[in-house]
Amino acid sequence: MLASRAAPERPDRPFTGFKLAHAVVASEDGQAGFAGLTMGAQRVYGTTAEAACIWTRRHAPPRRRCSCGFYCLNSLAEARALSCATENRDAVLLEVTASGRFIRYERGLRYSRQRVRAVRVGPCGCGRPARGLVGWRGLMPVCAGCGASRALITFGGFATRLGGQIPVTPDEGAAGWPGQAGEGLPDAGLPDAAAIAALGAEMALVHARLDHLQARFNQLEGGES
Amino acid sequence: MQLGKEVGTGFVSDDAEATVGEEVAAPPETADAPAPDASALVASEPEPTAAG
Repeated sequence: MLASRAAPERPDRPFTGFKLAHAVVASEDGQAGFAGLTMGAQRVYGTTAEAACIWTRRHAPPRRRCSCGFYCLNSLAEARALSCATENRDAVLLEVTASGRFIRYERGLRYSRQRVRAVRVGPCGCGRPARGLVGWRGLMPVCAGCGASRALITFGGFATRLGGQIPVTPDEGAAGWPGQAGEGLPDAGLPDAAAIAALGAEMALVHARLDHLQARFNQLEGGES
Repeated sequence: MQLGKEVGTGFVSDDAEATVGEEVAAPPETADAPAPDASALVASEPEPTAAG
């Protein structure tokens, strides 16, 4: 037996929500947008968008007993927690205004219309603060060191590609490398040339030692060194 | 994305959409209402699992 349903709600103001999405850039014109994490990955949306069901055109999202529509969480903390999942680490965090038809859940909303209000970019995969986004079509946060040899889209550059109305900033509240800068993990920048030289010298010593051991081994076996 | 159980449905308009440029400068807390608390559970729907 179906439970009775309450009267439809008509809030005075739209909702604020938080969600994760993949930052993307079009290969044709360089315009930026976003793609969902799972089923929503099939469609790229801009800063304002109307949801469409990916299964059928016969109903308008969000529809009960269908999974269509935009999704968001009520809590910024919960959205940040979601970004800790391995498959979500390249995603950016969006603050959105959710409007239109909606279904309200305990932890968030499913809704038909969305306006992105802010983009927060989490840390690079190495744990350092991101300085921009890199990639081809699909973008990911990257620090200056890891992105040194790649074409970097700065936060300002990504904001411009979104139309110049949406702030794109580092997510200061996102968990990054737990140590402090200089504590075994350089803050950023190119690898230290002196450290590379020292590692090269150590590798040369190891190779020389291996050659010596191989020669002695050959002697013990009765062969030539 | 697990959102929990359904607690309500409805429609809300985004009147500020036409003036996006002005609104992005305002703190989000003053522009939109926070999502209301889950209070009245009115139906038992399967929890959505997709993210969009």
